[in-house]
Amino acid sequence: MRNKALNLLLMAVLLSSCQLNPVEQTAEVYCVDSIVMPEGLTAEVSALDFLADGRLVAGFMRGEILLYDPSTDAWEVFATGLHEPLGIRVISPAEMLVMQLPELTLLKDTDGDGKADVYQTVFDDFGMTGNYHEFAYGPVKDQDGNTYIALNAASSGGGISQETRGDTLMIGKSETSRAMFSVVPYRGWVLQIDSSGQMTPFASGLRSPNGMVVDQENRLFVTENQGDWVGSSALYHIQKDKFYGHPSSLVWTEGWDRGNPFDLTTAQLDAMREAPAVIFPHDILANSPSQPVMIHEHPALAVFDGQMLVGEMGSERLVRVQLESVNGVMQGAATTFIDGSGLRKGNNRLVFAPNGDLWVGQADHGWLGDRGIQRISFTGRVPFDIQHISLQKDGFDIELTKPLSYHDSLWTDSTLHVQRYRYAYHEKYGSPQIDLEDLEVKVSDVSSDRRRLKLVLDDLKSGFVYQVTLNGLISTDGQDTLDHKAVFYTVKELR
Amino acid sequence: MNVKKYIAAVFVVALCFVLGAYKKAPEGQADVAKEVKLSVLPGLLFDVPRFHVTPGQTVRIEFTNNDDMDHNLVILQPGSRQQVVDLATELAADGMDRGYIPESPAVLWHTDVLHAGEVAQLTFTAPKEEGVYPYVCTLPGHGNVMYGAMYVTAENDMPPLAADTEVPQGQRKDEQHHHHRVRNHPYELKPPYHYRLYVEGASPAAIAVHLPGQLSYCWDAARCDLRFMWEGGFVDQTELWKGHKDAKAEVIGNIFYTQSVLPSISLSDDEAQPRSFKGYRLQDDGYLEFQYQIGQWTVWETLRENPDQRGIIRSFRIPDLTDPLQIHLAASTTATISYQGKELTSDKLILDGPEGQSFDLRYTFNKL
Repeated sequence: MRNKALNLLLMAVLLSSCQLNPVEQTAEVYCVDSIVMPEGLTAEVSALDFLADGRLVAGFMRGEILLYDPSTDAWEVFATGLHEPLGIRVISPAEMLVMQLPELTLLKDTDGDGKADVYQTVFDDFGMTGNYHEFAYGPVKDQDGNTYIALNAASSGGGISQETRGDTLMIGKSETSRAMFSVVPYRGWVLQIDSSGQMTPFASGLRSPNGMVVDQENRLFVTENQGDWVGSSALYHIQKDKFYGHPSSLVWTEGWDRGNPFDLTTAQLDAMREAPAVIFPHDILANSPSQPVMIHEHPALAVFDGQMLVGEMGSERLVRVQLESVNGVMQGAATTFIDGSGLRKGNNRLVFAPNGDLWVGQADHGWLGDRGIQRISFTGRVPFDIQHISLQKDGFDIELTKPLSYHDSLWTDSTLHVQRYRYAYHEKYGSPQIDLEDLEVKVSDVSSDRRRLKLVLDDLKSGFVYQVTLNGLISTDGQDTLDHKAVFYTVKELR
Repeated sequence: MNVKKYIAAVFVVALCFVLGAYKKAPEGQADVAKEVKLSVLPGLLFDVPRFHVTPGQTVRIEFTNNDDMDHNLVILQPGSRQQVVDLATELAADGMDRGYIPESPAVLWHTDVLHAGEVAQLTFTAPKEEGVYPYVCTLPGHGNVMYGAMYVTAENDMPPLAADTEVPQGQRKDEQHHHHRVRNHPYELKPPYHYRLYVEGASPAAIAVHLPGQLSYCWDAARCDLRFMWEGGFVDQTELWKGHKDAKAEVIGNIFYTQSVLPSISLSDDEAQPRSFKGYRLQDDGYLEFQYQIGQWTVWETLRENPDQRGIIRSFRIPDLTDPLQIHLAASTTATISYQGKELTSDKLILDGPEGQSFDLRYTFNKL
């Protein structure tokens, strides 16, 4: 007995040491290993990117930008003294764009010694109150050369300093509730900065948008954290001049003349609001989504090409998101990608290395989380998983990554379960699931290659999350099972 | 037993009774309620990691959620924390509706979920049974780190805090403060070096720079100007670095000059001339050279310690300047300001075009 336990332990150690075996010999899809951080570093990871030569660029909450060479395990200092650098976009080994609390900064190494010597202000035309929650996110760049940043609203758990930067409009703060607030310009906004440096206030209504990405189709997506006016965390498809639901930022809308936006009725605000493309159900899938990265031309993850991975701060998890356009509206589903397997909590920043490894930076900073950097290497083995789910007029089409071992009596309540529910849009912090229902579902069709199922549901409704859970499914080769695998599709539009 | 012994025994028993009663009356702990005020520290911690009550004592807990996350307070049977936390996690989406309180006989008392700023009272009679009763927040993910211990014992015999496995690791500190060197970064800092930070006396876009000779200054990127100078130390960012709560860096040392008149230089009669910050360059010797725009003019400014280390020199370059330049000085009893070796006594100095293209201002602290 003890020997068996020891063997299991040894096996666990071997697995975590991440020896990548030839595909046919391993049951693992990926392995997770932890990077040894330099001594003296408080490894609250705030930003990650890669140099083309394979070196990692990592930013930390105490203002360091460090370079890490995975081939030698050596750490180098690139820049110091920044104020919570929450995003890095590498331009070249000598030029990096960094979003820090007060500004977007171009770090330049002009003398070639490997360290930044110029800290050039690229954009700082936004307000600051000194509130601890006025984080600044981005930068991401679209295919037209525009750069996007996003500004967190201020927390009512903090205040306003005696000295602020920028204009103030106190009507951006609720007089009655403890909602997050926006009393200086563009808190709760996504800003667009064009290649000439011209800024356009792009979209409003954000609360705590700790993650931005531009996809291959040049669409901008932003993650949002559950809280006041956010029933459950979400992914928004950000489009110009749209309002995403948190009222405070509305005061910075050009020509705003409707007073304190918190005085508008919830119905008025709801009518103005653009709903999420994807909702991450709270306490089920993710409680604090962070940075998204696109899966693009990645050989080991080819089955998920065009999909998105999103970090989750609150648990040992990464989330996979797949989107589709329905009547021109982006919407889709989310599911777990990695759950446990040695991954820590606090998954704040994600980046693919040039060799395809996924690097994850963790932070806590007073919230739930962890610290450090982990590397996820893919063996190339295809997982048995829900590859894709697509809304139809009468239900959903589900595509699996591998053929299903199928027999006529497979479908029971325990192997296939569908629920729907929605979340309230309201001032209160978060929302429970409401109008929760178990749904009758029929599998009308399994494709001849046994990879596609047609789920038929009566009475599809928009505004709901449909949770489809598959359990105890086995692949035809008998090598894989799919247990308690839930996918969460947000129906914004019906077909 | 002879009669004498019997009488003695009765006497002893009676005395014990009397003494016992006598002893008990003034102590009377069971009759005095134990008041405990709990709130939340950054990093998912209760500010009070443990407390002691006697069996049967009335306990009044006031729990203030001063955090911006939701929390609850749940008091449990000894040894049941992990089990209850796991049950709470299993509630998943039902958790919110149930206040994250699982069905379990191990749950003794609990508050509702408190949103930011809410306060709840819990009043109960401590169990008769001695033991270590955990208290915990059962919101998802919180329970493994956010907990504490209620010691229910007749005598207050809690173990030393540093060795108490009933409290979170991070709170097992010696009650006596021990000084040990904490490294802030994975590298040694050698002046000059700098931080962008929140600090009192400047806008949130402040830059603090530490110079050789224990001299420091705060330069403000929002105002494009010097704000204050100090000697004796640099900044303590302990609270600021915790995050999650408003905090500012603390200045260590003595501020000897505050630029209470802003702006300190203007390039026309219009003091409201627009200014914009362009960033800074680290020169070969590590000193920062700020670049900013005042109206049409580009200004470069570097601050270094005096050669005698009794103050700081501000050096300006405005290569193309043709307009007259005004320098506004704040009255100071702790610093002397000089230009070209001469102490300045008025609150304003005007330099003509060519003079203004490159000049130094020297700020020397008087004996403090």
